[in-house]
Amino acid sequence: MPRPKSLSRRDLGKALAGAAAAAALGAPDQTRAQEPEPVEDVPAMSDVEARLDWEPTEELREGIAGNVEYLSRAWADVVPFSEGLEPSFIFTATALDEARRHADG
Amino acid sequence: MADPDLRYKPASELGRMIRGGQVSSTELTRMYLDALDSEGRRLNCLAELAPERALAEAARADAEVAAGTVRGPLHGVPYGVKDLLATDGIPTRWGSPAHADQVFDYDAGVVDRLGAAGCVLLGKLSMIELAGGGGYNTCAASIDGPCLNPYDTSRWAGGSSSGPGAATAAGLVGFSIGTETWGSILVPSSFCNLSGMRPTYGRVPRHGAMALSWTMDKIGPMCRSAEDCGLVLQAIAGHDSRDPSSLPGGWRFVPEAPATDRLRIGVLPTDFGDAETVKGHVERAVAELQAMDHTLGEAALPDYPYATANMTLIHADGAAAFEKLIRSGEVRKLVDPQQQAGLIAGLAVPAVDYIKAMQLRSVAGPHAVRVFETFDVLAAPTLLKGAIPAARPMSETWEGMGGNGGPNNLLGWPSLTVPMGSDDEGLPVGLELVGPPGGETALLALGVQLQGATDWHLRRP
Repeated sequence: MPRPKSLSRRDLGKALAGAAAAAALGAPDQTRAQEPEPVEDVPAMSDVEARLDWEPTEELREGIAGNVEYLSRAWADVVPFSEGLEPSFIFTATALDEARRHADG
Repeated sequence: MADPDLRYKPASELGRMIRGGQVSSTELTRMYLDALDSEGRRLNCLAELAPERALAEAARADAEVAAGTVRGPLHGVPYGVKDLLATDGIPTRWGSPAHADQVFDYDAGVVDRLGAAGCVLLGKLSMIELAGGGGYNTCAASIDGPCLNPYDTSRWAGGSSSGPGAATAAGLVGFSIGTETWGSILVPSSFCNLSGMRPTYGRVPRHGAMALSWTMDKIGPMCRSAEDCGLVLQAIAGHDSRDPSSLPGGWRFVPEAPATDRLRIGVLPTDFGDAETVKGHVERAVAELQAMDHTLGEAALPDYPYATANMTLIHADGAAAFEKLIRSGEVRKLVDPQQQAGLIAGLAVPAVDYIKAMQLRSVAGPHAVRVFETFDVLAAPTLLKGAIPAARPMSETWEGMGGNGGPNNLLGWPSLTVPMGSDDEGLPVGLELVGPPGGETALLALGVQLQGATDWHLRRP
């Protein structure tokens, strides 16, 4: 599952638009080349850094922030797929459940 | 044993030759060990050679044949495994510089099973570090360097099962075992003109396999024919109590049965862009299937955010699986900065999004699988282009590659990719056949039938 590396977060956005989370086959169209926010302003970035027992270099921080931004927005543009589901809808979690259901006929 | 074609023969034929006394397992093993040691190193497809173990297993296989004992159709056939699977006493580095000294004292379940089938383990084959879980931008994202494509060594063999792709295509092993979370069997198989199968999720137990994504990782065969894929899958499939996620029961390869029936083949819509040559190949391949009395129609899958869900699951699972590596800073040993950044960023996947991705399976799965009420098998180009240049960043080369791995991997559906010709640059491209969960038999029978009528799979580097 190759994906363009985020040397700069602007490039990451551009690359994701084209190479489409690249070999992440069939990846969504991420047309969001835009000015990156300062790393400090990326929500969840401080949570991530708090989990590290070491300090990333500035370049790596940029890369992490680009990915964090990307992941945090991943569902933002997704049309809700669960609309109309009963509030008590029970979901089975894994592909295994599906596979098992079909394997069992 | 001067036959220069020998090393390229399919595993099924090598097995027949061993059983018929035309060649010994030891002779084949020596041939492949030499080839791996020389060409394998040039292609960067070798992670670790295991000559002592291989020769001991080959000697045992030959002694059994001499005594009239044959364990199965692959008895004595030498093979290689992706370096993601544990092997007793042989380094298992997962393609990662951060795991350079890792050695397990047991064999993965799949390796156990292939041993029980009489196969001979030649060694470990290279892979993208940690199966590319953080995302990667360079073909060189491996402790073993960029794995080169035997059809054009300026190109990449594909990933993350790079070594299995290159080694099998170059005739350096009888067959190989790869793994796929999202494209890692199908991509290198397509790039290297192989038949490669990603089985139904849970079909092949994952004991001893590196975990990247617990609900998406699959193990499967990468071979020189569809028949080989069936034989290898038969040897490695079936429940293993050491992997509670494995499907119950076993699985048996029936090469002819379903293909004697008329299958309904649904061709998935594809935006070919400027890939006119590949479009022509797909048309030719499905015309071949039609000439075999199978019926064709246009199929479509419902529109869901499959890829978004895949990405969420892989990042969150990957960050959980490698949390120690990330937390300790060892992650900085990885070759590709994108891998480092992507894995670390996985720590920030919101739990709500993770649940949403899991929930999508419950909504999209029963909906999407209804396509198999109309069709038995779906068909589409595996990718729209052949192998990309090994030396350039993927952000520059992967555009327009296409692929169908999003829904199939999220929903655990099986796929078989088979060769169907070359792109405009003469590089191999594949046709993907997709089935419902548990649908491997029809896919393999169709692949065998197609390869009985065409010679695309017989092309060599």
